[in-house]
Amino acid sequence: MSKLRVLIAEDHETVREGLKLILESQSDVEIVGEVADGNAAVESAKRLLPDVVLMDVSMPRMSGLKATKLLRECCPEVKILALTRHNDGAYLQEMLRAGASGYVLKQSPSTELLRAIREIAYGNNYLDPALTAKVMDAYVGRAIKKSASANVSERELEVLKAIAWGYSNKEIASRLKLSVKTVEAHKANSMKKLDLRSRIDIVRYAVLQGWLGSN
Amino acid sequence: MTDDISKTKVSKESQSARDQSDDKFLVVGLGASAGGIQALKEFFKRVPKESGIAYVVILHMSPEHESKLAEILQITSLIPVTQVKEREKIEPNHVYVIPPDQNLAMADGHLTLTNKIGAQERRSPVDLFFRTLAEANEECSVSVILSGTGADGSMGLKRIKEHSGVAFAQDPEEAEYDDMPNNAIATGLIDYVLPVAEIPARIFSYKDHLGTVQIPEKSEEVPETDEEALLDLFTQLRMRTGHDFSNYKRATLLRRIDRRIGLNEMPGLPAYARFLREHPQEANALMKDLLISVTNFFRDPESIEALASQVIPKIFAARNPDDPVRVWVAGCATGEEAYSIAILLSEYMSNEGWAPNLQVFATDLDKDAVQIAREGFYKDAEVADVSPERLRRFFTRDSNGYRVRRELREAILFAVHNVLKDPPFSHLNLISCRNLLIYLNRTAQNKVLEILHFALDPSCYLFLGASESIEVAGDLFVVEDKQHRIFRSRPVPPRAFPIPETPFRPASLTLAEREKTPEETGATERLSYADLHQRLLEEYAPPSVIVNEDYDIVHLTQRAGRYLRMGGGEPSHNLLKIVRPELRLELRTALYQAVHDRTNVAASGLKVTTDDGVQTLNIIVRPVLREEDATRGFILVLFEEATEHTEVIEEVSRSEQPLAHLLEEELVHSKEQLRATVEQYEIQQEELRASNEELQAMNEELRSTAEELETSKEELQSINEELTTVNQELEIKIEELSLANNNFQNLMNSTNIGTIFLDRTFKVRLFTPSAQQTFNLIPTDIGRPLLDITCRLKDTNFLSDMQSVLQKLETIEREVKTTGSESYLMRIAPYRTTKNRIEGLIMTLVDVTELSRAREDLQKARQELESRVEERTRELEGANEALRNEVAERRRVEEARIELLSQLVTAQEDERRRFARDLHDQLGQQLTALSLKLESLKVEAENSKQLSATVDGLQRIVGQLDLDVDFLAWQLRPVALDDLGLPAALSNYVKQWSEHFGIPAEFQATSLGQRFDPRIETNLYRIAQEALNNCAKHSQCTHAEILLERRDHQVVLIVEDDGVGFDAASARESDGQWGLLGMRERTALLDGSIEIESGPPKVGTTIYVRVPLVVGGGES
Repeated sequence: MSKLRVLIAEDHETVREGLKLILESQSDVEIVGEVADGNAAVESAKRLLPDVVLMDVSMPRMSGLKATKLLRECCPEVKILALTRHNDGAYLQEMLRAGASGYVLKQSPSTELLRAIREIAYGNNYLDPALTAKVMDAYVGRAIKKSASANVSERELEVLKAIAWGYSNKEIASRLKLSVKTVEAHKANSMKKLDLRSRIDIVRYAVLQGWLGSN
Repeated sequence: MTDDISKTKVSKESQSARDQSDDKFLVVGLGASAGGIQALKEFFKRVPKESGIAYVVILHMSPEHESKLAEILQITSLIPVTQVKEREKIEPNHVYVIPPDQNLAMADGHLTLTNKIGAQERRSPVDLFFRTLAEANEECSVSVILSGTGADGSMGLKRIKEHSGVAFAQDPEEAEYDDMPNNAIATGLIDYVLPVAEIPARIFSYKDHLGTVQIPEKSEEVPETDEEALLDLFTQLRMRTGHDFSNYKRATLLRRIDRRIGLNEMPGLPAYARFLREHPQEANALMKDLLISVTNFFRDPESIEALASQVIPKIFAARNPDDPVRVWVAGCATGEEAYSIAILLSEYMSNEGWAPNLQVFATDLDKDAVQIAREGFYKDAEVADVSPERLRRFFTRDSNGYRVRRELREAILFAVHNVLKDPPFSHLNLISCRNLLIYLNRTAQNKVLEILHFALDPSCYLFLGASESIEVAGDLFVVEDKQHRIFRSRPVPPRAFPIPETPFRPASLTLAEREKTPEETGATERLSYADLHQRLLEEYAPPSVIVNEDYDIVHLTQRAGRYLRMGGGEPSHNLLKIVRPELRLELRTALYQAVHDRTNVAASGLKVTTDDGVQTLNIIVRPVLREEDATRGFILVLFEEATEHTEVIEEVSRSEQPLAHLLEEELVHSKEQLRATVEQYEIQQEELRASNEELQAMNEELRSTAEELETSKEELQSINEELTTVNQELEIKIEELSLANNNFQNLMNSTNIGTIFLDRTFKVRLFTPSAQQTFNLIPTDIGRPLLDITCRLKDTNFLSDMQSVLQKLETIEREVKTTGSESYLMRIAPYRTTKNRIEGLIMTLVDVTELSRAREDLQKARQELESRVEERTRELEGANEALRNEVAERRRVEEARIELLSQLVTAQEDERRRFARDLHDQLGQQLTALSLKLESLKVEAENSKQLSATVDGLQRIVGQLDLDVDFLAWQLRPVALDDLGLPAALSNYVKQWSEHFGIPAEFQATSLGQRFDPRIETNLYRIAQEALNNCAKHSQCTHAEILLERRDHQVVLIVEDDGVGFDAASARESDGQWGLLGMRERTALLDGSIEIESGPPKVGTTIYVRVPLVVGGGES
């Protein structure tokens, strides 16, 4: 059985060293090259066509993000594993969107890294368990019913729309020729009727109703 | 009334032919124009497959376009709809549609097309079709008028009604265009006004009831009950309307009554008679139907032409030029006939140069029709038969119709009049009585002709309708023109004076008796035993005579003749005229007594010389007195021969006493004288009766005239009222005028402005006293040229000024000086009347001496003031400049401060970024490397337990260090803010914050699009950071929300919590405490605004930060 061919793209030499130490100790892994920036990563990958590229996200000249995108376009068969210190969901999302098949934190134990390399080499996706919770977060939100605007008066709807558009109570009051107090009352009533608990609920409801489409 | 007799016959024959073949069906003509298609669709939607009726649709269409009407109607209709393309037999259960460019007519069970018609042609296709339909189909024709403009159909439906058809109109409320239905309803002949949807059902029910009553035309064939019902019906009519229709032709009457029965959905004549008794208003409707008459201008043009060319000249030739030409139009209906004849006569008179001296009497039974005739107003469709030239000459245009001119109108007297009942007119030159006789039975015809003969002067003319004749009165009239029905009265005395029936007729005389009279005189053929007995009795009874109340003999016994003697001259029935003269006196007395005292009277011992010698007679007069006796009113006169005995005694006494004889002689003589006197009296009485007749005729004329005068008087009264109003208005105007005049006079006198009014030749017309200051004017100068008058002006050359004003019509104004160094403002203006005509000039002279002096002073003061103002302005400008410089300086300083602040913030951020990067990238990576190496060391140190433990410990320390470094870097400045942008960084921050403080928080970013300028991203991030820190420190909130939105060209950041809040008004003072100052400054750096909502009634605090959108770099 042939070994898994891995290309390391990492700008910090010391880190590269550490990675090599770990990988070389594995009998089924072969390091086919090392590069220190995004540009070189793309060039080498095109030439070497490795099974997996270990891609640092923050690198000089070309970031890992951009390199991932380019590689994805020119050599779709080369799998990319993002390796980074960024443990927030935003980086994760961006990298996955750019085309990475796996995402592992440098802080995690090396067993995670090795498991990830093997998984994606065989065509699976892999996500560092430390980040799973963050991915879930993005999908855990209150369910907003796209209910018909039942029982909500015309005036209340107007107030709701203006709130969703980010107008302050004072602005709404002057636009609709009401007192601030009345605006507050309309807001409270309509939220109650539609079971909306917060301003964000209102915005989400507005998105569902299509109120924010265009001006 | 029917157009001519032959047509009527034809239609009757075809009708009976149809009856035999049993395929007589209703034909419904539907007339419509604008808005009609919808109504038609509605109509045919309700017509079932087997209604047994044919429908013909006449719609006004543009002749230039093809019509899709048939296809359109077919959609809703269950029965076939076709457009008529050629002559076609009409079938039931079929809809026929008129083609757009042709007219449709009905003839002989077929639909025929007329020639193509042009676009400009005046079209009345509905009228045309209805006319032919009426004539062809009689009572089986139905007309329906639907939505449309104009009056098409109104004429046609009259024909339909005249021929006993039915007329419907769409409810004008419902019709899209209500002109046509309204005009149809205005004819007063519409039977039903209904919404379209209800019309078909009504037609079917009419069809079901039609013909359920079959009344034979001759009375003998009528079942007893029907005949009674008919008589009852006539009685009802006479009671309710005062008109007796029993003399009218049965066929026509029955057809029209049958129609009413159908319309009211009655099972038969007796039921209808009952209905009539219970519904008084039905009597009027029935009468209206019975009287339906259709007429138009110049009807039967050929006959009219014959009348104009043959008869009218003769009338004028025969008459005395000073006498008026008198014409009677009997049965004038709505007046067209009368106006037509009047037009003919007027034309002749004006052509021949006769003075217009014309009297036309026009009468009719129908009050409403006469009213219309009096109005003299006709719709466009109704004057269609009048030539344009006549229209111009005898009519005036009025709103959608024509009105007869006054001159013509005044020559005609319209009156309600019953030819059979009311006294006639007299001394007439021409009578037109067209299409009246056809409605009457022979008896009535005879009577009318007698009346007409009486009314006409000898050898004058009678003009009858096309299907009428004088055959019942051939002794009174002679044919003048057979084809055109013009007759001439024979110069014979009237058969009888046409005594008006009503006032003179004894109440006991009923209709039945009068009708029996001719039968009694003529019927001798059939002899019953009762009659035989009667005859035989007469043989033995004394001779007797039966007379009526006029003493006319109605019957006499065989031997009664010997006491009668026919004299010379006209034969007479009158008993008193033909009885032997010796008996006359006593007989008259006896008859008079008998009628007067209502008793039997006998006159005895009368001597009479007959062929058998002298006889003595007793005369017994026996009037029939029993009230219930049918023969009431008749009188029996018996001639009883006296016994010889009395005669002998008389003989004896006569011969034996000479004195007595002498007296007797004297008595005979006296009797002779008395007889002569009586005869004279009788002649005079005859003459009186004749005079009475004439007086009555004249009276009738006077009554009509009075009626007209009454109308005129009312008109005059209303004109008078109008005049009074106008007069009052004028009075008010005069008052106003005199007030204005006074005002003007006072103004002129009190004003100090010299004013001179000049005419176009510059002569003085008027001047005010003040004008005398400049011109030496005296009151007698009015009328003199102004230039002749001396004046005190230095500049006397105002002549050119005045001329120029007159030419250019522009006011000239200039200052003039007098010799006395006074100044005047002279203004010369054109004198305009209210009608804007220039009738001269006005010159005004205003004393401005004071004014010009004051003006000079003012000039001086102003100059001084101006110089002062200039000086002051210069000073102010200096101060202003200094101020401006200062402001600019301050602004520069402020800008510099902001710039500095901005640089400071940027520098700070840059420094933070650098630190963070270093921490993250350098230190962090080193830690990673360390960790990796420890990992590999751990593998190697597998054998040594102690070393393994040490490595584990080191790994933990490295891990903790890693976290610390990360947090430190993130706190300084999150890398994500640069790498991924504001939303990612904020989202992460909110999460961290929430975890750190244990307060649930949510972040929402909506429709942001491209990344913002780094300055915006950094500052908004910091503002959010600060706001959340405030929140954690002060608000005691349980929930926080951060929203980031893009709105047009703004970025909006909203931070909201549900904490205790604070008084927004005092927030500015506590800025420091609340850390708001930093937020405000950062917002100012971005040219943005910040708004804080807090404090009651609101729960919690909301901070809105809005900054103008600048899209910036940043890797995406």
